[in-house]
This record gives sequence, C-alpha cells and structure tokens, in this order.
Amino acid sequence: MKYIGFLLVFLVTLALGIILSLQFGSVPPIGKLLDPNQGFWQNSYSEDMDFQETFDLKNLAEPVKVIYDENLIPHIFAENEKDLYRIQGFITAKHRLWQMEFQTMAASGRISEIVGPVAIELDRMTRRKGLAFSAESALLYVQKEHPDTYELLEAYADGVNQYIESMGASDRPIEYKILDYKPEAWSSYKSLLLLKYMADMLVGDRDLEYTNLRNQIGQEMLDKLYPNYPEENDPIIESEKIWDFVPLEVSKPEGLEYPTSDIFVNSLPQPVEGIGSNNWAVSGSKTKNGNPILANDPHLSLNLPSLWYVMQLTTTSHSVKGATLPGALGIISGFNEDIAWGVTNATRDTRDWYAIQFKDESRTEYLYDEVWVKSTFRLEEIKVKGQIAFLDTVVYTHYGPVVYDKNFRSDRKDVNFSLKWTAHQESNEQKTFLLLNKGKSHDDYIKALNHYTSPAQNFVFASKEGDIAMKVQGRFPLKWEGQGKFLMEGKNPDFEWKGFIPNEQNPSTLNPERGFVSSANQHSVDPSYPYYIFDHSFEHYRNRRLNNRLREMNQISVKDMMDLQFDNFYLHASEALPVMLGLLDSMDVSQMDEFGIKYLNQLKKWNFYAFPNQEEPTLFFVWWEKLYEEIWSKWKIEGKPIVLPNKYQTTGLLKKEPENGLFDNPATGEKETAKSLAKASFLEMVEKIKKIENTEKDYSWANFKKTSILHLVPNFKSFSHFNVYTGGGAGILNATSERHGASWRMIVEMGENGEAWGIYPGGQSGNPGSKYYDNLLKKWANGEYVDVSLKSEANFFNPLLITHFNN
Amino acid sequence: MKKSLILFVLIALIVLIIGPYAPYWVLMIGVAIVSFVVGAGKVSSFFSSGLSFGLAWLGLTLYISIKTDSELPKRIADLMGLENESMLMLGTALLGFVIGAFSGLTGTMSRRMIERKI
Repeated sequence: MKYIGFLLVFLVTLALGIILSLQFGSVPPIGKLLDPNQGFWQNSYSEDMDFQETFDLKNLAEPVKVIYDENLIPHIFAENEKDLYRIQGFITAKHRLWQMEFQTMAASGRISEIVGPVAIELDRMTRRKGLAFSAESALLYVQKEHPDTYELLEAYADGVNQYIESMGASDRPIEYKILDYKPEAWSSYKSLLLLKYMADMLVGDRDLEYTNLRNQIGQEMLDKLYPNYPEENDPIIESEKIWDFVPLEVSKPEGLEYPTSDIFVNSLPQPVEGIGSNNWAVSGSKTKNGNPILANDPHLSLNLPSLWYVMQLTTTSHSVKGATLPGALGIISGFNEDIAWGVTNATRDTRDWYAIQFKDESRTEYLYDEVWVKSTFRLEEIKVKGQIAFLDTVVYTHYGPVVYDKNFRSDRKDVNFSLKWTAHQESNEQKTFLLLNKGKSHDDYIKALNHYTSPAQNFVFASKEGDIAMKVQGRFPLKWEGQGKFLMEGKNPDFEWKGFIPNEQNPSTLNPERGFVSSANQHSVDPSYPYYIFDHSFEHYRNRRLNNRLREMNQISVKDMMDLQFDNFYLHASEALPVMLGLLDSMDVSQMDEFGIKYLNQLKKWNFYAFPNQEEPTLFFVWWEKLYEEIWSKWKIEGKPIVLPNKYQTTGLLKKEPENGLFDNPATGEKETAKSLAKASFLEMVEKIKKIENTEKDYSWANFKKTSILHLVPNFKSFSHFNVYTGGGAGILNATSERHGASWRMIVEMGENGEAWGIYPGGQSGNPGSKYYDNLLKKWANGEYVDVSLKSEANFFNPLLITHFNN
Repeated sequence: MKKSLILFVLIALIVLIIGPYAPYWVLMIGVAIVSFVVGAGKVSSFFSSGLSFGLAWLGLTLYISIKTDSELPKRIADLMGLENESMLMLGTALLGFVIGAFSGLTGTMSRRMIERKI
C-alpha cells in the first residue's frame, strides 16, 4: 500500500513536471509560461530597467558607443562600417528579434513550422512564388559580384547571432515563449530574403483577371473602362518633361494573338488597395527658410511590432538617421548631413504569366519554339508543427516557377502557368541603401539607384546643396504595347520580354521648374514617355490632391508639410458626391423616412473632409460602396477571377454617361440607369446606417472605419490596438484606412540648421510588456511627431541609456 | 513544526536563488531533495513545500508587477481568457503551490520508503 501511495504521488509529480512544459494545440506550455523567473513575467521589464552599460562583443575592430534617446531610438557611434553594421545587427535583434525572424520565416514559407497545419496553404503559395529561390540566387550573386556588400551582410548577421548567444531563456521575446520555439541563427541569406518579402508585399499583377475580362466584355469596352492613362493624369514626373534620349526599339510581332480561353483558377491574393505611399520634396525657392524640405510616408499594413525601427548610424565619415527595416542593413527611408531620400511604391506590371504546354503528365519537358525543353523540379519540404512534413513539387521553366497547376489553386490538368518576375532576377538592392546612407550628392544618389531592381520604387531626393529630384527606379522589362497585360503563350518566343529599359532611361527629374517633385503611386509619366507602361493599381486621387496643394503653397515650413501628410481632404467624395446627389434629384424626398432626410441633409452640407468625429464620410463611403456594388456586381462569376473598373472610371461614367447601357443589369426585367441605381443604393445606405445608429449609437468616421493595428500573430488580440481614433482613409493623403496607413511619417529640412521629424504607429520595442512597445501610437494618431534630427556623440542632450561595446 | 519551517525557508531560497538560472522542473527536483533531507511529516511536507513555492512565486509576480508597472500581465490574462491580472497572479501562485507540494511530498515519501527498508 505504501509503495502504491508513493508511486501515485511520484507519477503525479512527474506528470506535472512534463505536462506543464508541453504545448497542446494552441495552449502554450503553462508551467514554462507562468514561471515568474523564466516565463512571461520576465518580459514585463522595459528596456530602461534592464540594460547593460558595457558589453564585450567579438570581432569588433574598435569600441562602439550606443546612446538611446528618450524614445529608445539608438544612436550608434562607430569608427568604421563593419563595426557599425555588426552593432546594428546586435541592437536590432535586442529589440526586434522575434519580428525579424518571423518575417523571414513568412518570406521563405516556413510559418507552418511555428503555428502548425493552418499555414500550409500560405506557405505553399509563398514557395510557389519562388521567394526563397530568388533570395538564394541573390545571395550567390552578391557573394560573387559584390564582396563588399557580402562582408557587411556577414558582419550584421554576426551581430544578430552574438545577441542570440548572449540571451538567456528568460530574455527570449514573449512570442517564442507562447508559441514554444527558439530563435535560430541569422544569416546574410535572411537579410536578402527580407528584401524579397518587401517585393512580394508590394508587387501584384492582374494578368489572369484581365484575360477573363477581355473575353467577357471585349477589347473595346476594356479600352474604354480600363484606359492606360486617365483623363486627368497628374503623373510623378511632371508632364512638361522632355525625354532627351533615343529609346530602344520594340514593336509587337505581327499577327501575334493572345490565348483566348477563360481561366478558372483561384488567383493569388493581391496587394490590397490602400498599400501605397506619398513622398515629395520642395525646393528652397518655395520654403520659408530657403532650404529644401523632403517628406515621406509609406503606407503599409499597420502592425505591431512596428514594421519600422528608427536608428542613427554614425561612423567617422558619415552620419545617417531614419527608418530601418529590422533584418536589413542601413537606413531605408532617411537622411544624412548632405542628402535625404524616401520611397513610394512604383506599381508597374513586372510580373507576367505564361501558359506552359508540357509533353506529358510527368511535366519533364515543355514546348518552346517548336522543340521540347527540359524543365527542372524543386522539392519544397514544408515542416509542420506537430505533424509530418508536407511535400510540394514545383516545376520550373526558363520563365520561372509554375505557380498554378493541377495541385495548386486549379482542378484542371491543362492549367500550368509559369510566373516571370523581375524579383527572381539577380540583384543587390541592399547595396542601393548602403550607398544612399553615405551619399553626398545627386550623382551619388543616381549611382546608388543603379543597383536597384525590385520592388520598383519612386525615390525622392533632396540635398543640402539645394537639389530636389525624383526617379522611378526598378528593372523594367522592355515591352511592346499591351505586352503582359494578359496571360501569354509560353511556347511562342514572340511573347518573351524584349530586354530591359536602361536605368538612365527610367523616368526621372532634377530641379523641375515647378519647384517640387512628388509621388503618390500614380502613373509615372504622361503618354509622351516613349515606352509602354502599365499597371492596374495606379492611384488617381492622392496624387492630384498632393500636387494641387504643392502648386499653391509658398513660404512652406516644416509645420505645413506635417499638415499636408495629415491632410484629410476626401477628393474622391468631392468629385463623386455632387454627381450622386444630382442623380437623386428626381427622387421624391417624401418617400424617405426621417433618417433618410437627415443623412441627405448632412451630405449636402459636408465640407469633404474625413476627420475622425465627422459622420458624413461614413455616409458617403457606404453609399458609394453600395452604388459600386449595384453597378458592377453583375459581372462577377463564381470561380472566374476578374477586376472591376476603379472608382475613378466609375465616377466618370456616372457623371458623363448616366444613360449608358452599362448600368443595366440584363438579368432583371427592368432597365436600370445611373439614377435608379443611385436611388436604390441610397436607400440601402440609409438602412445600414440606421442599424449602426441603433446598435452602436455612433456612425462617426473613426468609429465606422475602426483603424486597427494588429500584432503579426492575429490571434494575439491583446497585443494589438483596435479602434484607434484617427481620421483619413484610402485615397486620402492621410491614408489611414482600417488596416493600412502611414506606417512611417518623416519630414526633413535640409541645411545647416536642418531638422527632422518622424513618427510611426507603435514604438521602438518589440516587447508587448515594454512601455516603448506602443508609446508613439497616440502621437501618430493625433498627427504629432518626435524630433529625429541628427545628434552628435559629444552634445547628446538627456540620454536615456548608454551602452559601450568593447572587443 | 520546526522541520516544516526549515523546509519552508529552504524551498523559498531555492525558488528565489536557483529559479533565475533554471527551469521550474529543476526546482521541482531541488524541492524533492530538500524535502527528502529534512524529512518532515507527509502533511507538513506537502503544505510547507506547496505554500513556500506558491508564495515565493506570488511574491515574485507582485514584485515584478509593482516594479515594472507593465501592461503585460493584463495582456496575457486577456489572451488566456482570464478576467484580470490578479487572476493571473493567483493562477501562478496556485500552480507554484501544486508543483511545490507534490515535489515535497514525493521527497518525504521516498525517504520514508528507504527508512522502512533499512
């Protein structure tokens, strides 16, 4: 009996020891997590309570000093570049390790390893797009052609790894503790992977959708509703620009026809509307102090830990400050003593699809130029937490990976679409940023950009010497008119890209007469540019608002530029609402209930701004949404992806051709017109808002759009912020919609007494237990900034912490 | 009585001094060994070890909460579906009590077994 009693107690104790350290499904290892000495409690310390004054770091040539300011922005003072990037790696890992690793896991299709089978589809998609494949070839290219870059990438990786080694189990970021895994070693490959991740986030294409659309509505209607250039084009490079180069010849091969069959695949998710950015620079002639001022606000998915991490990087020869991407070297959007630069996405169709004809089901050979060519296979082993690995075989042609086939997002045996994408090509984007960081002049900027391939960006520039410039930089395929807009025939070499546009012929401008340069993801150029350019997602509103404002502004101060970044004017509403109200005129107001009359009166008096407390933006937004749905939903066919006309074209159609047959839905007995649809959608809007008013008591704009900043693991709701009180919206300069918006705002005034201001929705710390995790969020929501001017080691006012790194 | 007090103090020291350097299951082994050596009665070993371990953990959570004033306990409580951070502290203390108590009981019971054999 005694023995049985002992055995029982012993087994209970053993079971407690083991079970509490194991993860069951989504339940974390409770014992490990709650242990106050090792578990999550230890992550409660903010960085200022728990830091080291000195640290012995291997491989340093000289001592390095890191001084943090009151917002936990580190200022690294090193003697040389290798030491600088080694410390950048160390410091970034110290504050953002989990995030930088998680993002590269996402980019290489390894999320299933962390979260289990729910992520298999996502991982397959990432791998089929070939992100890891392209980072591998980028690494080989950098090792061979750019040993100087490689050396710095290695130093950075060493810094990250020395941090990981120095870290005890209790120091591990909270996400590792909850999801129960450990950080692995960093490498140069991972830094390159991160830049591919950005390409994936920012580049899309609609080739398959356009193919279906052309079959459905015909080429003529396609040209009318989806023109290459909008009527009021206000391009990035000013229309007056003279193209003083001899373009390469390219023309459509005669008699070439696109394949015409419909495509039934579950097409890839695209970058969401609202991912975009603004940047601009005004020359000294337009500013109060006579110095150029540069501004940049990239709009991306709003997440925590924040996408950006602010740093100052100083060596004896240069000093640069701005936003870094944790995992990549140097500053991505920032400034030094001589120049400033910023980026917006230069959307452009750099991804094309080729239908491949294989010889047989083994898919080892495919037809090209009337001969059978060997394909290659890449076996993707996706490790899955708690399960056996998932194997996926991806076939590669000379174009690139066959993304869609019978095994992925298609049921049909004859679907084999190969992806050709500039992001797969050898490149060294990292070098662009390394060179910009220490650039001194417009020449240096142009030289730096020559290394930049993908994702194409509009690089804005300003210098202390007084230059302002803009260049649309990426590696752009040389295409004949219309090439790659639709699915192409893989066996016919006539469909191949004809080369690339030389860097020096990419659209650019230096000190234009109008005194400013700007970009907001709109068309790069006006139709006089001698090459064919196309993209589905060019912006039509932010660009015009921005340029209109910049044209009329003079005596500009930094404060004016801050106000412009936070500008809430809803240009689309100001153009569409009068048309919509005009269509309602015939409607008998007596038909409406008191709510309808109230909403109508509100809309009639609206000033077209989208401040958080206003109700009119909600009314307009919902009305527009319903109207758009009424007009175009008839085109949607289950399983057959298409794209609908954008709101700019739709607004134009409502205004100019309200009687057009396009408004009619042939499936109904009646004949719909713009008028009848405007009326129907208005009533739908009234019903919806009435409901909101009854349930939530509040249909103000902020409460309706519910801007949310989510932790990268969406289940970690309490690490996120919901319903942030702020204005703006998609298509507005302050582009803060529900899940997207300015992920970083920066204003830099050049010159001797130059100053710089920045803000982002989050904080420097990646630790949800730290007070620096989200301390900047409120300021961001209110349109405030923090001072991010360059600081010197000698006159560092009021440092928060100082760490000395010694060899 | 005296033995259980000694046990209480020793276990608290283990949790506070070795805890920062070792996972909780190592502490469990430590508690069992100490309880084996001290050799208090079964009931007093169980409660002494449990209370000591649990209170040490509770003390640590209190200390950390007050010192850091962090949002984290609230966030984790939310994540685990608990009402507030006090529940989380209580949960941590209870867990500490259970693992401490059973480790202590195991230690003293194994001593009894060996003693009988001799």
